[in-house]
Amino acid sequence: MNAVFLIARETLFEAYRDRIFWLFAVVLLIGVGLSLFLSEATITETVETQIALSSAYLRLATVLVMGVFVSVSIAREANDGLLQMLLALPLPRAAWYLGRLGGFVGVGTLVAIAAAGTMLPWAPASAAARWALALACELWVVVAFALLVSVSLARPTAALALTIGFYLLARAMGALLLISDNARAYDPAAGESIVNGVLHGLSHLLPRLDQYARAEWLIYPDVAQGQPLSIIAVGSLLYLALLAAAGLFDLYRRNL
Amino acid sequence: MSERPLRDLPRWALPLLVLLLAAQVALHRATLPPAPTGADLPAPPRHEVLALMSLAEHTAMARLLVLRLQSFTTAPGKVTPLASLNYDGVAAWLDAALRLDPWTQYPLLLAARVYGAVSQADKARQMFEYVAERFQHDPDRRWPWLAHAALMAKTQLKDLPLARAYARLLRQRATGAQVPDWARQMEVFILEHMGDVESAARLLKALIDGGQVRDPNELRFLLQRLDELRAQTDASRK
Repeated sequence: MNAVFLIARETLFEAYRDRIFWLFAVVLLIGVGLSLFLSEATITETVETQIALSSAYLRLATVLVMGVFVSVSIAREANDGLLQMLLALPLPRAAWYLGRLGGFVGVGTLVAIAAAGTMLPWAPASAAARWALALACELWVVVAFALLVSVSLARPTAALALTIGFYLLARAMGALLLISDNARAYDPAAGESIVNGVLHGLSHLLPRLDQYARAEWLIYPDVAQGQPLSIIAVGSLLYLALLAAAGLFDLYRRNL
Repeated sequence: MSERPLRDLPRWALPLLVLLLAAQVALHRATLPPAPTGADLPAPPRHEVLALMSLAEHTAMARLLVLRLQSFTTAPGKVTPLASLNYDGVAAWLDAALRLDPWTQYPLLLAARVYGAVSQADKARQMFEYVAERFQHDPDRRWPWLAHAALMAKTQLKDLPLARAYARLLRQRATGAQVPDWARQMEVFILEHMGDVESAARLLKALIDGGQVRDPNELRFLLQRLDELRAQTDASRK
């Protein structure tokens, strides 16, 4: 357990050394600046427009930067031979994997809190807290997936492409199902198509990221309901555990 | 990492860099698309496509849609008259935004106060009908736009039966505690044939004084409209 904690702490230091937090600060500034610029063109609902655009941007930007950080970090460790050295030590492989995962989850949590902090001047604190926790859950899922594919593939470009693809698919799955179901509604004679069946099957394997960290929670906290936070948290932890189990399964099978 | 001085570069490197940069700028300028005109307003993408493009951030996409719609009449260096727009297209864009974010008031403000303020009666009427129809989906939140449509039907279109129909709809459907009395009493004012522009000014002033308008841009916009209405009132008195 101590080794897991040490590796997680080292991952946090790595993020600090790589100036990841500075990078996020720049990302946050760009987001706020861009939304301020666009909201100047509005006639009404200026603040609401600013919140909607900056929160949507921050979700995408933080996920992208975290995905790149995980892929590059694991690739660098493999290229330096550090991973082989660690795995050769009398240390359970699970300790290394869970330590890295814990570190990345920690970085993601800090990033989500900072992102929600930029919303505080405009959105109620309770709404910002709800949004922060949902964004943190989203980032946990993304870093867990990025870690899985980075370790399994050992190719940072492919790992990053897969991570982005996974994220976009999970975010778009609700709309894809809507399109697919509507197509069937227009042409009932078509019956159950293969694509529709595949999409519905795939949706069971993906987290419902389209229900996470939505801008309307910040803009209309009194009326916007959405998925309860408890469901999001439990679902994310379950998916995190699933991805960690898959990663450990692959890692234990690997020869040095 | 240390760098070599510029003189160590091959002689052709810097001119080539400048030349290619100039070529890029020239190509960009030569291939600028023409500014869109009102007639160019295309139909918005289908709701499902917008939902997909937004990656489930429907509120943000709704805001981008209204900004995009606004941009069709305010392209850089060119202002297109609102009346030149295809209003079926305008209604479709407003509807697309409203369907993505049913809580936003922005599309209804555009319909009532911007696209409904054109001098072409048929187009203004189309926008007011749009407002009246969408009002019924959420009367207690959307009442200001129907109130404005009722006043504009009276003052701009000079269509008192239409104004009364809107005012009656307002009185009957907007029954929430947040709807002020004056909005529900509009039907009486219209029936009494009170001064047209003065009524519009009164409604605007009541909205502003009531503290319901907190958005600075909207407040500025309304104050500007109030000044215009007062100027019209003064001119008519003279």
